[in-house]
Amino acid sequence: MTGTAADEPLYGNLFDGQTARCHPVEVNWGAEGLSLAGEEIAELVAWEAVTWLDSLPEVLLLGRADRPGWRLQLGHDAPLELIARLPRRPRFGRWIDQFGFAKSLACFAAISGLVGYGAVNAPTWLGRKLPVSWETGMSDDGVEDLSASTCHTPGSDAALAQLVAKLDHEKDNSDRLPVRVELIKLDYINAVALPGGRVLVFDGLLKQVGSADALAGVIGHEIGHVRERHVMQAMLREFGISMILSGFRSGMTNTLGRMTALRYSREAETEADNWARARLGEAGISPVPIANFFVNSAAEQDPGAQLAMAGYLNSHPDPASRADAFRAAWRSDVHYRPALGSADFNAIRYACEDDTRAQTWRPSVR
Amino acid sequence: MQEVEGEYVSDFEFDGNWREFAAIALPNLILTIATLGIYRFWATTRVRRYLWSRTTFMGDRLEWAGTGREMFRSGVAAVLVVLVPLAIANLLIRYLIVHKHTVAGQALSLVVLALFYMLVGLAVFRGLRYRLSRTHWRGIRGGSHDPGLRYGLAHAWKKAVGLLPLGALMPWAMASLWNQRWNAMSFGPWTFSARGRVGRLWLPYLWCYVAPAVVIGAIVLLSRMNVTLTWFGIEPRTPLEWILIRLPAALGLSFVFAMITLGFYASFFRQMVRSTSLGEMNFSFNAGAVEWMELYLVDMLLIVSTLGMGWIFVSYRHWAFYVRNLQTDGRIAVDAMTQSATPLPRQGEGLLDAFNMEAL
Repeated sequence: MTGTAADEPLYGNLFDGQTARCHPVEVNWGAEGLSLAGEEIAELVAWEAVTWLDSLPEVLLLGRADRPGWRLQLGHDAPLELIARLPRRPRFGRWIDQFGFAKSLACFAAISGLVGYGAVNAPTWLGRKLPVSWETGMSDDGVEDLSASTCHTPGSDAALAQLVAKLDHEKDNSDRLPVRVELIKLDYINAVALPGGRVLVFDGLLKQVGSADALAGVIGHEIGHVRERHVMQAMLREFGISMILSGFRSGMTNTLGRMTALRYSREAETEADNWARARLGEAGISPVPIANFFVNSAAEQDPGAQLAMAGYLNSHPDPASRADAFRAAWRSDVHYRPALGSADFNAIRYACEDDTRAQTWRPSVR
Repeated sequence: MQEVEGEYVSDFEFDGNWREFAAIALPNLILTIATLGIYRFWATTRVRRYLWSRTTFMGDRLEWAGTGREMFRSGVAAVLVVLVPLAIANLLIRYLIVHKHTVAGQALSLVVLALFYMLVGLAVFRGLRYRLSRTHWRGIRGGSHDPGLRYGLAHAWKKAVGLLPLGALMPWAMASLWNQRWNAMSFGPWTFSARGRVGRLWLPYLWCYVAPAVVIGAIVLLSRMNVTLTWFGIEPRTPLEWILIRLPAALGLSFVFAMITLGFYASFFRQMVRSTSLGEMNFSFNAGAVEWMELYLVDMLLIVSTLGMGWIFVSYRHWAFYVRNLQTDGRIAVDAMTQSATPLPRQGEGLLDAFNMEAL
């Protein structure tokens, strides 16, 4: 059947892709394709070769897949039977046109959501999987030297080793990071876990903590961060992919200040608390003093100390609920013993005053 | 040889409207967000298809014949071939410097910088070549025989020469690169001819020099006089407050500087377009400094007042601006206008996109 048999003949403009000249043609169509006839022009275009490029204000624009630049313009009055024979006009892109806009959009959104979820959770997942040895390499390499600000006395070293041994049984296991707890001369009420199993306890906190049991709670919490690989997770979150690319080593200079400011997720803080609670229980150390430390110590102090304490509390989640969780771990059938004798505790507590060599640390980036 | 009488050309006309454009740009935005940016290659294609098709030259519409797929491929290739090695080189430099191999690190960073400038030049060249090769008018397209490697080299050294004497030779570098770029391009059977000269550009460029010198002088003078800047009489106490007090002045100055630079660019663009021709057809560009400033100011207002949504109309506004200000005169022999013999480049603007250089 020819489409123009009954109606007016259909005319169009042909640009052959060879020159810019316009060829008026009469257009007919049948089962084989479009046939064009005009002055100097007589061609048959198979349906497979016809592409519908665009719908312009005045005309429909057709092309030929096998002839770049070949353009046929048909008026918008082209019969519907002809338009029905044309391939679909591209709109959003091949896939979206095939599946439909709404379906594609939903599909893309779902995939993007998954990707986003993966990206958010990758640090947590990856932080646990990365070999411990990678983290060990980071502990000293390229990080500023703290030895001048580390407080040592024979008494405090021994007492600290004793306390850490009570809390961290796994330190002899070679698969795990060796934990190194250091006392740092800085008037800052906090303790931090660094890459490579380093834990820094600042002098300001030693002055504030009040008892060996509470100190055991603080150190236990930080070792918990180390053991649960939170340090690596937070580093991955903070420094991202650039850290992996740089082999964990270069470009990390002077970032100790930033590392001490690493933030852990709420879940990580809870995990570290759980870890500390379990170890306190195993070691027979009462969980009550650390609970009191969270909620009470600020109230008893002068406003300046309260402000400083707020810094510690701000970097950790809700102190009241943390304290409640520790209090709930207290059991009446357990005979709790002090974590350290008072002489040992005082050796740690005053280590930074007794060690005259230690200088106050000035973090280079805070 | 047959002598072909040409027709006198008329100007380009643009008959798009923003409602039609919004019907394209909004779904584009939604799809681009939903695909985390990957759809932007197809989005650009759709935008261009519309803008080109609403641009008429001598009664016939332009046509954009590029595809999203080829742009996407080109973008992926550029990231793999260019950005990844550049990132690795950067890490290597950092590694060298951290481990005290300072000289080696600096040498490598110089090499990388030179390479970067070359690649930017290559990106600009290939972007232009790609756009011409996908622009059809009456079925005829443009292109270039030149792969652009020499232009990349020229871009690196000319920009270096332009920048080294405190930027004094930048107009020369820009004009020279414009000529080199356009002289390598063609449309149909005709090669573009660009003979832009720097002569009359020095005066507008001088302003770009005088303005910052005046500002720096004023700052030096103020700091000498020991004036303490206050905010309604409140003295800054923290570094943040110190910066905040200076922020309005700094923003104002950079705005003024941007406008002065734009003034220079307006003269530059006008002069370059006027010196460029195709066959027997000459071009000129109407917009002066005021019109360019208006264009960018309205862009800014549009974006700010719509909380960023207006950004999707920027390409529309800019295209309309270019088309409405572009004038042509001379003649064109349509019958003698044969198809371009240039190779059809397979790369799109991936490199340009990778360097994040917005080109419509």
